[in-house]
Amino acid sequence: MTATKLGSYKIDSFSLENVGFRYPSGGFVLENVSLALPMNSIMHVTGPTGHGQSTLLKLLALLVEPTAGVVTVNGMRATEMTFEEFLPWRLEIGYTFENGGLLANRTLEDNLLLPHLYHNLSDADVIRSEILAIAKRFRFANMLDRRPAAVSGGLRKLITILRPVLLRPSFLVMDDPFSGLDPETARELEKLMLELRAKSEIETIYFTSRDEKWPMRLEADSLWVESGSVGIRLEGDATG
Amino acid sequence: MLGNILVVTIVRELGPLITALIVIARSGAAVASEIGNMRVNREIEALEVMGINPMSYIVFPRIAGGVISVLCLAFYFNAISLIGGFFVSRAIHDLPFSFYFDSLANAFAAEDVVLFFVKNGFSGLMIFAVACNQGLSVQMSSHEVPQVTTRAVVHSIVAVTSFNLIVSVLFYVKQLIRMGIL
Repeated sequence: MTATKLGSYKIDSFSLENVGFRYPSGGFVLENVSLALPMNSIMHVTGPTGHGQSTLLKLLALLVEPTAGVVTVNGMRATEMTFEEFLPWRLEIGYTFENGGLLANRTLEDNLLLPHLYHNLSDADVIRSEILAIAKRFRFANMLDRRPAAVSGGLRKLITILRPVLLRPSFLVMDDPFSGLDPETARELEKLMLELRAKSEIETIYFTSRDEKWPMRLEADSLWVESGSVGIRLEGDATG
Repeated sequence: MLGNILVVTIVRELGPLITALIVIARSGAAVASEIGNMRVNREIEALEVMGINPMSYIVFPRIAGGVISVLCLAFYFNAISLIGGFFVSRAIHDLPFSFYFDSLANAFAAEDVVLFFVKNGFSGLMIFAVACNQGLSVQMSSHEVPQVTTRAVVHSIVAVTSFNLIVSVLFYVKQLIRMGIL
């Protein structure tokens, strides 16, 4: 049984126009990036460590505002819209954290339930049964009533990945999703990603990974981030 | 006379101030550090990506709860202080309860009720607005949490004390004008 969403606000186009980003304490992480992101695909965001891959993912999830330029989503200037104005499209952009991101004072089940209940996206019983099914699949059904501090770091990470996945966003942004997971769980996650892609429930996935095996297994194209600039390298294209 | 002294010192002045100081120490600091830690653990970011506005999920409930709790605590503070005042006056001067109660009832005015709600309501608002603001100001690092907690306490004390002082001055100036002294 699948939870239902409010309406169709799926992300068809996403572009960056002269986007720059700098943290208050440092220099530019991204500088003058203009790019129409390929949609309906799996992209591996890669490049040398510390050159802005995670920052780019945060920009794509609109978690941070660019310090220069405009982010356009479905033709709308998302960076100029209020939180409430952009909300329907925001629910179509999922983001999974590399670390943290779970509400410490809620159980794992409540963490997974929260966005559905808060936005009235689906019947509580329907989503509860879906959570139970996915918990059984990933072998943590007996830990749903525990709080994040009472479970392993790997399971915490898995919950932060499954929370947006359960919302079936059309655009999923994942910051190093496979690290910290045991091999069997990581393979099951890969299988889930591909299943949801095949059913068009999640259309576009952007992710980082330090392990080159995952982009190859997912047949991902590459988005190369280095020294503040961004370029696309399609699968098998050595020229970048 | 006894009722007037108790109403002025406890209900108008000490009650709002001491209640606010207790709430700042007990809850204002806790809220600032809780939200600061939520920021460090990326819980606030998680709310944003889930489409949940942290202002409506984190800030407003704490401010609303803070206003209500300060009003309730101030009521308790006043009630227990006035009952305590009866026992002290009875021990010293063997005053009957009816005399004590009449003295208090004659001293109370409608303005005291207004003053009670204004002072305590706004104190609650300021304490939790400052605490939430300081908590949300944490950027990324856990070393910022104790810093914002201290700032929240200091800023709240300054804000609440100044507010109470200003309201009291305005109240008594108005009383003096009404009496024709000013």
